Amino acid sequence: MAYTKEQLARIWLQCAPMAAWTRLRAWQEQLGGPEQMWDLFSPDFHALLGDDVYASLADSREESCRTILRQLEALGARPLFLGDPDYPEMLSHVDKPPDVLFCRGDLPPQGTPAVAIVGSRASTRYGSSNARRIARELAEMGVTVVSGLARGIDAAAHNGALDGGGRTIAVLGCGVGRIYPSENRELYQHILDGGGAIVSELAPDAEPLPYHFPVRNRIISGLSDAVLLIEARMKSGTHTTIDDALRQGREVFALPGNVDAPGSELPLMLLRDGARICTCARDLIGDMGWQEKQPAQETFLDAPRPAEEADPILRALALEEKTLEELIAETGLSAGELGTKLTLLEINGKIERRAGRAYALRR
Amino acid sequence: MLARTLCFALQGVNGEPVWVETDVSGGMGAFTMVGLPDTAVRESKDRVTGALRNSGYAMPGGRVTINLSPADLKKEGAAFDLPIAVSIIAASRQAALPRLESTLLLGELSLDGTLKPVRGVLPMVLAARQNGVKSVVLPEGNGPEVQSLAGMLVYPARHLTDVIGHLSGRQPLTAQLQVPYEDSLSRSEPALDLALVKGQQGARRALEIAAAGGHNLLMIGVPGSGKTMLARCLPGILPRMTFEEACETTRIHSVAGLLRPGQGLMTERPFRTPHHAVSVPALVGGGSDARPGEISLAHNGVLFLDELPEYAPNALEALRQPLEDGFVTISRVRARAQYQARCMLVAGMNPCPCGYFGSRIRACHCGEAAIRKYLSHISGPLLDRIDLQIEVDAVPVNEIAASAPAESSAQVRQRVQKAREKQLNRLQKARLHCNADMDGSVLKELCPLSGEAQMILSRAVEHMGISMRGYTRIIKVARTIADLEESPGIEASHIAEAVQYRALDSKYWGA
Repeated sequence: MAYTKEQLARIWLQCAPMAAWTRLRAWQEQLGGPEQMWDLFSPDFHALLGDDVYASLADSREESCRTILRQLEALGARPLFLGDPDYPEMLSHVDKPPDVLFCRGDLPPQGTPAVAIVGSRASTRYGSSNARRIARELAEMGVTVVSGLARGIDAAAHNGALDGGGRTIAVLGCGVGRIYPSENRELYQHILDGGGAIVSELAPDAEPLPYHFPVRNRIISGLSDAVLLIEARMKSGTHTTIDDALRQGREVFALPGNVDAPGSELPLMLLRDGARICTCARDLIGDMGWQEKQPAQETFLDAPRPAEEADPILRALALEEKTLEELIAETGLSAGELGTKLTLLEINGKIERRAGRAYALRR
Repeated sequence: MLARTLCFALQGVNGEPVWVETDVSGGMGAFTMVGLPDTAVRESKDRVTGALRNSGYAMPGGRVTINLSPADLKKEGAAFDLPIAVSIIAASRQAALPRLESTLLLGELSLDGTLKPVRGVLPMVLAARQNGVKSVVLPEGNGPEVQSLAGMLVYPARHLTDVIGHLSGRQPLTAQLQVPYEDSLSRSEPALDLALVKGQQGARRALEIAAAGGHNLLMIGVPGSGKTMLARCLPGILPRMTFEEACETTRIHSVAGLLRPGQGLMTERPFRTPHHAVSVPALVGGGSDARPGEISLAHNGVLFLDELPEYAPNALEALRQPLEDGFVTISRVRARAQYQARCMLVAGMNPCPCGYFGSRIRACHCGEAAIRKYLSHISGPLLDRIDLQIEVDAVPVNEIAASAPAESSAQVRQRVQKAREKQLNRLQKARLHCNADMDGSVLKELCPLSGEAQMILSRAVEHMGISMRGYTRIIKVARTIADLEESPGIEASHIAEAVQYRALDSKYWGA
């Protein structure tokens, strides 16, 4: 693919280390734009930009960004330029949008509703399973799920969207040519196979540096109409995503959690401050005023509770999960008898076993 | 003049007959000992010299030659002191000892002539009995170790002069009374009684099944959930040791020098807990003289490995063969030995690096990858040897105080013993001891499943992510559950309960 000189100059500047972006932007404005910057770039910049930044810019200019273009081509990724029709429109309206966004796979058509699902990397089972469920429901209704490919809630959200046969967008804190964390290698591929996209504003081979992530968070909220917070501590990276979302005028939803769980700190605070509550995709779709593509299946809150409670075990599990010892105390059965009954209930799909030898009704 | 007396050298847990031949002749004073003595045996010259002098005898002035025959067998330990001293007295004609050649002499001498206990007495006396020896003189502290042996006159002695008095016939010692094995059994108390374990119904049940079928057991639980305490109760609910088993175990402990002076046959099953920094030789046996390792010391008992993933991978791998075969062969430069190693492996571990995965008390902050890595420290082949894998939850403090007294070890042991008897009857033909020993072909022949049981099993396998390896384990455990319930066949309910004990196989783990 042939690029104009201006486009090359923009790719060139976008691929500079993130630490130099503010200075480069100021210089661009002084000099008149990326093209002028390209032309006027000289050893004089050395003192202004510092060793690393100067060296990386000088190298890539010297060979006319050939390495970067080759990397993009090898990955099947392409650059999206701010202002072009294929640049995500939602993102173009936020403060400091990326000038160039590198994209693997396909972004959904402009105007497709999108929801960002964010939360803690150290998620609990409650958080992960609900993130996955809501993402699946959203995907089934044709909503794009945006997240950050991190472990925990992010991975659960992407997986949920894929379960629902929908598209999902992962915004990385490293280049699109890297997979971080590496445990999400398979997920990365599944996202692409599922017709989704992997995007990043960083050079294709950029490393996942700690300060990349808060900056990338504005893209996660920027690509979405609404942000759903699942689980996070008060002091967490997720907090910056929420701040970005509020600045960008995105609707913020939160999943309520147990008041005594540390991961409920941020969601409960947001709910108190006026965030919308979200227990299932239908809550969110309704509040956003979107048309449902298909009627939502049985939802969480109003699922019928069948009168199956003749079984003492199911009755004991009606409200919450119980450990084996608690079940023994409640049903009066011996450990052996209970073991037999639990297996039968489990293979009949009535209950599921969880870590810590706990059992819960299957939903 | 020449004197001969019989002694025994340890080769692993076996005693090999060794003749101590002493020749005293005139000429210039010299002392030579030949026949591959180790340092402890070589040094006996100095102990014997002192002991002789302080007992009213003397080291002869002429040439003293001691030959330990057969000459090519390595001899070690201090048990040779007494035979050497006595044979010197006989050879130098300081006393006439008519009973010398028919009596086995064992013991270390101190410089004042007192006899001190030595290690390896039980295997040596057993070997002597096999070789037709009828009487043995040994240090008082070693007496109880052989008190249950029939067909052997045991004379415990305190001092070298007592031994000489006995052998010369001037002042015979009195033989110690034989104590029937059953009498010593009744006196033993379990180290920890199951009645002290509060709550933990699930784990108690698993413990009972493990004991009944000889199954290896893995307990996964948060720190402080009582894994170690549960494991310690296991020896108390296993069937009583038979006399043969007690002899086997005591022999190994005797060779390792772990018997206390005055300790008799070990009537309680051993419970060994090597620390997780244990080396391979310490675990399976080794050292230059091929001493038994922890797995052999746990023979007929329990080997408890707490914090299983913290053990060095090569140490765990080294356990696999002995666990499979029930014995271990150690070859070293100076020695070669085979030790029995039929023990129950009981392991404890946390569910994740921080220890609180799945706990309600505290949130776990381990990533999925960290948990997977932690679990991967235990190799599949080792897990394959562990039939029961259970999760143990901490018991809340108020429940510990409130709960009623639980069943005692003695009550559980009765059921276990009954189940074991059923197994012995069934497994006699296959020459196996317990359900855990069954392999695929025996399983197929002796453990047919009812149609319903088969259906439950197939559904569990496909529903709950149970591996094919887990499949045979489940049938074995189900067989034990059926034995506990005195059911001739394996029913659906037995299979269903057995499925519960495959914690690490289930899909939920780490997901």
